[in-house]
Order: sequence, then C-alpha cells, then structure tokens
Amino acid sequence: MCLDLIKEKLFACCHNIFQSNLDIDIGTIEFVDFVDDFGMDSLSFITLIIEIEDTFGVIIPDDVLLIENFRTIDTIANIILQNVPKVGD
Amino acid sequence: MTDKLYCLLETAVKESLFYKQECERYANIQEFYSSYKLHKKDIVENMYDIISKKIDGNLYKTMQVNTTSGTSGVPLKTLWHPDDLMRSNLSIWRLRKKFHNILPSDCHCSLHTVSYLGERINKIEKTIISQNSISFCKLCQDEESMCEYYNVMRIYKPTWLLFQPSFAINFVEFCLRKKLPPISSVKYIEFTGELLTSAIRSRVASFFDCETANMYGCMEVNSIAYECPCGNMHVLEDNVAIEVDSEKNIFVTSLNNFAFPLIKYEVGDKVDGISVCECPCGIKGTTIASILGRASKEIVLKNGQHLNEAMLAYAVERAEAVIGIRLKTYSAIYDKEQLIIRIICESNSVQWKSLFCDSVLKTVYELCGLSNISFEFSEELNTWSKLGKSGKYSILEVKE
Repeated sequence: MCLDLIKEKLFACCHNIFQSNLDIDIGTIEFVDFVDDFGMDSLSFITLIIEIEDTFGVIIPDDVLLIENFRTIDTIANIILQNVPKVGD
Repeated sequence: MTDKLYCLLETAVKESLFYKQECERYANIQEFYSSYKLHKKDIVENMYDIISKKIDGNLYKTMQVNTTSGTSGVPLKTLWHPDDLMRSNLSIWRLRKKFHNILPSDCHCSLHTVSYLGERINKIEKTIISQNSISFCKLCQDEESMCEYYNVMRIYKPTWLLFQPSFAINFVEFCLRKKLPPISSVKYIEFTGELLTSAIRSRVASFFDCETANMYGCMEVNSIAYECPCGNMHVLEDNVAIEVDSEKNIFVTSLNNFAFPLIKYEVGDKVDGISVCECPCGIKGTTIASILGRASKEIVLKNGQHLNEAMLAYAVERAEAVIGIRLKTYSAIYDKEQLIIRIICESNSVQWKSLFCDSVLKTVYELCGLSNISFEFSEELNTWSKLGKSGKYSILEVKE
C-alpha cells in the first residue's frame, strides 16, 4: 500500500472522528496538528487508533502508542506503512 | 513468560523502591514472579514506594487516581500515567469494536457511587454528564431516580450501557412496570461488577432487543476478561497476566501500568476453568470458564464444603433449563445453616414451582452436600433488593 492511498483512507477516518473540527480538505490536512487544531484528547486518540487498526488491518505496537506520535497525517501514515502487513506476510 | 510481562517486571524492579526490595529476597525475576503475591494491604502501606521513580513532582500531577469501591472493606487508590491508562483501555476497545462495532466516542451510560473520575465527591450526585459519558448513581435506585435516569437516556440517546446486572434488571423492571418503551438508541449492553445470571441477561437483552457481553475487571487493573459472541471469557492478555492458585484465587499483573506497577495482585475473586483455546471468534489465548465471585463471599458449610454465587447460579439456571421456564431474577441468603432461595417470577407461573425446587435442591446437594434449603417466591423485584455500601449486589449473602 502506498503512502498516498494510506493518507486518503486516513483522511476518511479522521473525518468520522473529528467531524465538527474538520473544515478542511485532503490537501490542507497535511498542515494540521491533530492536538492543537482538532483538539485530539485521549478519548479521540483511542478512537483514532481503533479506526486505523480496523481500516488498515494493523496492530499499532505499544511503543509507538503515544499521542505525540500521532499529531500529523504524515507521521501517522508512516506508522501505518511500517506496520501494514506486507504481501507474503 | 511473555516479553511484555518480563519488560514490566524488569522495569518495576528497577524503578520502584518497593519491588526492588521485594525482589531482592529472590534469586532472579522469574523466581520473584513465580513466588510473589501482592495484597491490598501491601499497596495501602507502601503506596509511595510503589510509584516508579521516573514519576517526578510535575509528572505526578498528571497522574489519574482510580479509587476502588471498597467491596472488600478497604478502598484502594491506584495511580495511572495517562499513556499507560490509554494502552490499558485499548485492549478492550479493540474487542468492543470488533464484536459490537462500538467506539470510544460513542455515547454511553455507566454507574458510580460517591466516587467519580478519581475525585471523591461527598454528596451523592444522581446523574453526572461529561463529554460522551453519562453516569448514574447506583446507590439511588428508587422510582424517582429511575425516572430521572430514563429521561436522561431519552435525551442523550446512549449507544451502549455499561451496567451492573442488578442495576440493569432494576431499570428494566421499572420500565416494564411503568410501561415505558426501551431506549431505542441502545444497541449494546456490557455487564460488569457482579455475577451475571442468564435470567438477568436474557430479560435485559430481550427488553432492549440488543447485543450483550459480560466483562470481568477491577478498578486496579481495568479489564481482565471479556466475553466474545461465542460465550467465552477471554483474558485480555494485552492488558493483564493472570495466575490462579490451588484455591482458585485469581492474581493479576497489570501489563500496562509502569508508573504504579501491580504485580501478582490478589484481586479477591475466585475463578475456575482456566484454559487456552482457539475460539471460533478468532481469538487464541487464555479463557476463564467461570467467575465464582468474591472470595470473601464464599460460604464454608458445616460439612467443610464450599458454596459460592456461581454454584447457586448453576443450580437455578439448570432447573430453569430443565423445566423450560425463565425467572425474573433470584438471590439467596444463608442463615443458621439454612439456605433461603428467593425467586422473583411472573405471577402466572405456579405449576412448575415444586419441580423447580426439587431440581435446585438436587443440584445444590450434588455440588456441596447442603440439603437444608427453603424457597420463597415473589413477583416484585424490589422486595429483596439490597445493595451493599459500594452499590454492589450479591446473589448469595450470609445473614449478619
């Protein structure tokens, strides 16, 4: 799965979770800080993790499960990319 | 021993003064883990030495304090770093989503006593609303309170409920008495905190017409086991490691609480039938066949045998299945070597009573040799409802 496709699916996840704060499109989400701009708290963070794991079929490892690692779409997409099952896995 | 457990043990021994000293009495971490037991008293007396030395003054202010309801007589404080707490909760959320499509952001109702969100509140607040969470006071279950809870639910439209079985059945009976329709937004109910009988589960699920699951946990470590749609109680091995001794006492190690580690903590409950299985639901791991209830509630009979809530539930539910009837609920009191079983059922159900009593008598005798049993029948649930100071209800009590 390529990074752009991951971001596209991730944008859809974010849209479900941060509906009221998400007055942006896929082009501008690159500049968004999920904590400062979306007001991501522990509740919405767990929801985001659950949605990511469900959408991408990944289990996010414990050592990266920190809000600090999930503040921008780029960092999140990279975490998914590193954990998404490779073909033949 | 899993890597996650070893990591927790190693960190605890390195960073907590209490565990460092405890572990020094053993040859190595493996031996420490296999022989050690942590009791409530140890936590109360050594609270500040248990905290990881990484938690300095500033970090301490961010810690969440969880206080237990004090069922065993000693309310206990446990501390959580927010990141550890989030990881601890994640394991059950993964399963709620997988089996029932419930998300943390979904609005839900739960219960409180006088303690809420770690802050002790001296006055009882019947309803507390915060973000997507509504909490009702389980100490207030009179008609007026139930009416308030019903109206709050109608307004806030919760997607799911996290209720103790006794509260859930009281609420359902209240709605039925008042001819109130179920709250249509509720699509899932999770039972916790007390023994879940099939009578209660079936009546509550049928009223709300929704999915249900049983969850076993405690405030100290959060969720311990969760029931899948196949009916198996799966230990949440991302969150806890469990051990059960020869007397069926359960000990848990919280795998996510690095700031305030709890290692081989004696929960105070008895469980039975620990096994590893590959369940059709897709989970492979440890399951608990039966949660027998609080160790302190187990009755030692004159013949030396034991009687607990799960045995009573088994006897009653077996009789229900054999005769093909469904009770509203039941409870029992043990008084002067006699067990008085109190049955709450529909008024039109008369002819099956002697068959039912015979069946229960036979099963209880087979299980523990007790034959001095009497039965009382009623239609009204409130007749015998009695809550302890922690708001928990036990189906088996010893008369004080």
